[in-house]
Amino acid sequence: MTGENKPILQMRNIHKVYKTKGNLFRSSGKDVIALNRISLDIYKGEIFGLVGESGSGKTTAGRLIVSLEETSSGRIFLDSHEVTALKGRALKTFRRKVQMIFQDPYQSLNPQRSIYDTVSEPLKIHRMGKTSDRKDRVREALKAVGLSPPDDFLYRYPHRLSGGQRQRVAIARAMILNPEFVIADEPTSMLDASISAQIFNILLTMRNKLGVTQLFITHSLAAARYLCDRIAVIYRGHLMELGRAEAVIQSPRHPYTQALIDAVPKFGHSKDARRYGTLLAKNHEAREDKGCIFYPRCAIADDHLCARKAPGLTEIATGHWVACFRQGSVESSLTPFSYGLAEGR
Amino acid sequence: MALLEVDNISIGYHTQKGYLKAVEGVSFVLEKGQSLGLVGESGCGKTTIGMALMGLLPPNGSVRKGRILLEGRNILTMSDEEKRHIRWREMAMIFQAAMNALNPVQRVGDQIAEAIRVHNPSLEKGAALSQVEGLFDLVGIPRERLRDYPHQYSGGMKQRAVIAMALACHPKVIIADEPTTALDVIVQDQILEEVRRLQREFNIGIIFISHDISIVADMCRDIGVMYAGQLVEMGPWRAVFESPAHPYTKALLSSFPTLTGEKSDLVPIPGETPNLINPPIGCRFCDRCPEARTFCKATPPQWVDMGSGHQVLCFRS
Amino acid sequence: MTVRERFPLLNSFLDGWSIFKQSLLGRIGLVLLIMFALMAVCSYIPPWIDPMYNPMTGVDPDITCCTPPSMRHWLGTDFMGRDILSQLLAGARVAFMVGISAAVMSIVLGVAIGMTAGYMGRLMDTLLMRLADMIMVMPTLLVVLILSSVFGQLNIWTIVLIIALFRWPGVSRIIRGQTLSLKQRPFIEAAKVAGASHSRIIFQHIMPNVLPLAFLFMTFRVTSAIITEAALAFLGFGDPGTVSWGMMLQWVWKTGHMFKAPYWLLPPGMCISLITLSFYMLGRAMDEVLDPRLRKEDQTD
Repeated sequence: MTGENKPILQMRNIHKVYKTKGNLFRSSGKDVIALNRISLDIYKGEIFGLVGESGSGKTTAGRLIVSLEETSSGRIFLDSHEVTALKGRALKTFRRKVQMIFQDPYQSLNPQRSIYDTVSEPLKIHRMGKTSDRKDRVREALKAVGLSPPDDFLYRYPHRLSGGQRQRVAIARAMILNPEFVIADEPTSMLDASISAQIFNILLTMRNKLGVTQLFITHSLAAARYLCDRIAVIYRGHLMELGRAEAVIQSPRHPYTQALIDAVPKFGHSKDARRYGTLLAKNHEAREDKGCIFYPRCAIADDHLCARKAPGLTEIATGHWVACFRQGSVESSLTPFSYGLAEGR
Repeated sequence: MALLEVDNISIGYHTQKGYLKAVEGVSFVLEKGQSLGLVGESGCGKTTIGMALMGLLPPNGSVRKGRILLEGRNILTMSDEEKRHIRWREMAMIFQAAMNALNPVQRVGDQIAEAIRVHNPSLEKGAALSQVEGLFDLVGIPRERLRDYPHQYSGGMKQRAVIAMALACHPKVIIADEPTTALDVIVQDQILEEVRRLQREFNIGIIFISHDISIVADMCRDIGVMYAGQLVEMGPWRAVFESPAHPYTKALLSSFPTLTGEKSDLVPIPGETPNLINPPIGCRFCDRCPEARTFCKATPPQWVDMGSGHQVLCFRS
Repeated sequence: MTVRERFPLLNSFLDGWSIFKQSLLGRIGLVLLIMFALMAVCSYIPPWIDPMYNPMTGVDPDITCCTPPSMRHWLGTDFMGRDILSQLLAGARVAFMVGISAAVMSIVLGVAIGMTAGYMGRLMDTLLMRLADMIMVMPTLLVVLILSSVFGQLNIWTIVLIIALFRWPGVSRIIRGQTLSLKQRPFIEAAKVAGASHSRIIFQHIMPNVLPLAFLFMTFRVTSAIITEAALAFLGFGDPGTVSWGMMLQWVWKTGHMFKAPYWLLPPGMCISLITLSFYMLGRAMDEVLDPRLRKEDQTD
């Protein structure tokens, strides 16, 4: 991931609005802006983390890229070709290059189909290979995600597999077409820690051995730190901060990022950990359509500036972007907390 | 005398596939005003223990042996009437996905007031509601939200309401089973802070059940690590975290990514949890244990005292 | 790899059978149905033995009126001297034919329309469901009455068609509901992301998950079809060229033998009741087979 790289995926001014229906007393419902003119670049061969809480729009972003939903406006480019509103044959070709791993392993596999049917389906859809070839390819894919010996799993049904195994099948399915770009939408949020670790390592192998670029959507900053090269923090449809993972986490500049880091439990040290303290106990009053989206909760906000104008992403250091007028006000002289975790080695 | 003492309990479920030994020989002690964390992954039996403590096991589950002593009295041998008296008044529970424990068609204030009046029939509705107002102040919900319905509450607020309900009868012990699992991290932080504060203020003993070690480390003085129905390590949180003795604890700790400190490889635990219908005779972790020896498979491990209250169920230490 | 694994359909069938076997209702229902099926098959035997046993045209040269059971005619004869037993057997054949054809047709229609409405949503959904509503409120019998008064006596297959055309709305509503909920399931989205076309999703993903429900419904449809045909025949709007149990009841009634010839009145009535009961029991047992299997998730904790 050097400056030499061209971005493999580009999102430009992506805007997504959900219209809620009105009810008996209102002729039109309220609009919910899931993504507010987001732009971002993802470079070839990196794992890019999109970190946000519920309602941040992170899942929507993934679904728009993969064309499960349509953008309200804005453009998406893959390898410099526009892929925003593809249909028909072009869409099908696009699908070979971009795949997705879903959050719930208990729901993302068709319960009526065997593992072989599920993993080989992309091959059938794109008419690749003959039946015997397909079986071999499925075996390879299952082995690659650690389901060995593959023949044990080929004809089983999902209900006989554990959550971790099912998620691996989902990864095998996503990878069988050798896509360039894979979106992993909270792939471990329904799994135990030790199983999640297995999944993380598979994702890392996918990058290291196969060069697959990934968008990792998560609510866990710690997971993003482990897995990702660069991360973006998203809040209510707006990007707050973007940069190299270590930089964003060790020297966060946006008050929201700082609030997130404050909130993460620190393995027993939360009591002594120093906090950035950028979150208000009681919200400011604010107008929905003006000013910074984080203003109502921001402890360091400037009432005149932040309530009136929405800050754009500005590059404050190489590759580190922040959307805040007041960034840098809370000193990053705050010592990044470090302690020795027993390694168990 | 300890506030709550669990003495060698074993709990099982009758299932279609056989008798599932969900909890085997677990013992621990909770002192007044202290907090104890039970940590483990799915299927380890921690939730089962929580349910057994409250007497809320499903019909096919039962405590096979052992005692549960609340201030010296064994609640397992109590009559249903006595159990009802204890439940909520002396021991309360905050359930997993507690947000769904609220009745969607009843106003929140009314629900909590009703819970109070069930355990204190002489109380009038008006008096009960003003108690609820006090509780809302305690947990940080604005009083005017009393008359709202659950769907009008945010996730964090619902959780606070459920905590309020648990506190309603001033229990001595609260069992919190994954109380913040479904919440975002910032709200979780606020709720946990609230719980810590309330615990200090009212000197309540808390048993905190979670799969998330990081939370338990923050919240609890002592931690018990559970695996496959057994307690495998127990001790003050610092000892368990910084000098883990059981290979499972070590493995569990190294499978959590951290936000700070050195970035180390996450080491997953290979294999799967054992079948609890026919659990192995020896150590239940030995198939997956990187430090296992030949005798681990055949001999049940013994408790080893590491000093200062830190104990581990393993031969290797 | 065992045979069971190689042919997943066979495997599901065997699994289902073992659950089905446990249900008392299912066993009884199945036995009754087999009995009726045998009756239907045997309906070809009497006329082959002797033309006088032909249910429609077979007239015993010696008998010209209603007679009670005898050696020659095990259940007696009707007002024209035709053998009642052979009529009963033929009626079984007709019942199966009518019941199953009407059920299959209405299910095929109902599934196709329900899936389309559920999957396509919006305008198509609204149109189809309003159509379903309109048809659902129309009384079948009344329409048949009107049609037959306009077109004269109706052929049995026309009747089957009409029954099917009036019965699909109920099925389609259920299937539409099922489709709607399935549409949101992640595995459908995963198929879309893999590049599956709409038809692939509908036929390979939605339909297999919807068919069990449809089959369940089919058993109920069969009973309602049989009863409808019987009712039509009884009221005189059936196909006079076909001997069905309903027809037999009509003849008993029309010729005034209702209370005079119990051996003629009772058999068809009992058969109608029993066959519908047996289909119902089958349906109940299938419910047990289909539901828990669909819900079998081995989740821990």
